[in-house]
Amino acid sequence: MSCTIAGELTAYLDRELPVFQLKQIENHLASCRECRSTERLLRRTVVRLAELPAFELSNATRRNVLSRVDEAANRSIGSRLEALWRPQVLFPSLGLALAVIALVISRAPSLEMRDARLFEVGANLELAEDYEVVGLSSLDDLEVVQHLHELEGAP
Amino acid sequence: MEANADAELMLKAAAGEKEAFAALFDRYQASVARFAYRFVGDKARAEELAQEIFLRLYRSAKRYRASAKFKTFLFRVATNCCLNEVRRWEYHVSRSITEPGDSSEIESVAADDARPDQSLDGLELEAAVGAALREMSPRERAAFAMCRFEGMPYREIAVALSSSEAAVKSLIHRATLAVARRIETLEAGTEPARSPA
Repeated sequence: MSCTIAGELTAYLDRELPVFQLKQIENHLASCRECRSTERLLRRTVVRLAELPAFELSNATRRNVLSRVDEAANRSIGSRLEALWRPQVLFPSLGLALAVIALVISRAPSLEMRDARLFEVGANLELAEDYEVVGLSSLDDLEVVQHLHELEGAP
Repeated sequence: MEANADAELMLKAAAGEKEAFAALFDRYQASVARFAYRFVGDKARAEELAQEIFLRLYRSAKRYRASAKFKTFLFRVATNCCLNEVRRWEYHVSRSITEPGDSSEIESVAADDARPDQSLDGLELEAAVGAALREMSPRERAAFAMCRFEGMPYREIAVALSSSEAAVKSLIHRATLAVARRIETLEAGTEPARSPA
């Protein structure tokens, strides 16, 4: 095998070369008997490899793999839960959870504050009702609504 | 499209869906079995190795990213398992080399695995290919098996072997030529001559 191109023959056969190189090898094969014979041998080999019998895994192997995967999955869930019960993890987690609860309680709005907001909402509701009663058709109606309660109080 | 389906199954398997992993197993068991068998040349060892490959695949499922082709990822895992197996085997053989009889375990493919329905031609071909594979380096064997039996492109084989495409091209050429010389000898009915290629 003296040609430098001989080392490319398998890649040529597998169409794993750029187009210009494929062309180059085709041209070379037309003139080199030794490379032509090697290329034929390689081509025949690839065809003959397809004649080799298939080998498939047994059903027992399938069952074994899937049951071991099952085991591994269960073990990983179990070991994760187990890890949570370790004192190094459990006590700091509990401490953190208590701190978060205390913070939430301390920052909750006070009763007075909540009442004030409720009054504001109530007042606005009343105003909305007034707009509905009068029916807004012009800007003058807004003024009427503003003074509606004074009118209600008047004899 | 099939590659996307594989990637999806693998992501589901990583999330703990065992049915998704079973589907991947069924889809790729033949490829993995063939690869393992061509690598070690013995059916019993290949079955064990295939189990190991699938379990390793399951354990490394969380490392899988959908951007990578599933088959390449699978064969990367398979190649690493096979290379480790070869190292373990060589270590085992080197330790027990003084004990007579142990070295016979590096078996002849055809002798142990002959089936009654296989013709003599088939057996001889199997033996010739097996002999060539045994003489190859593990990386040549892996590259050859991925290329010739799985039809993987050089680029993907390079990823599976953590190697360059140029190196893969050279590995595949040497390996294919070695097998070709064995088959040529078989067809000519003569004893194999060592090929310089």
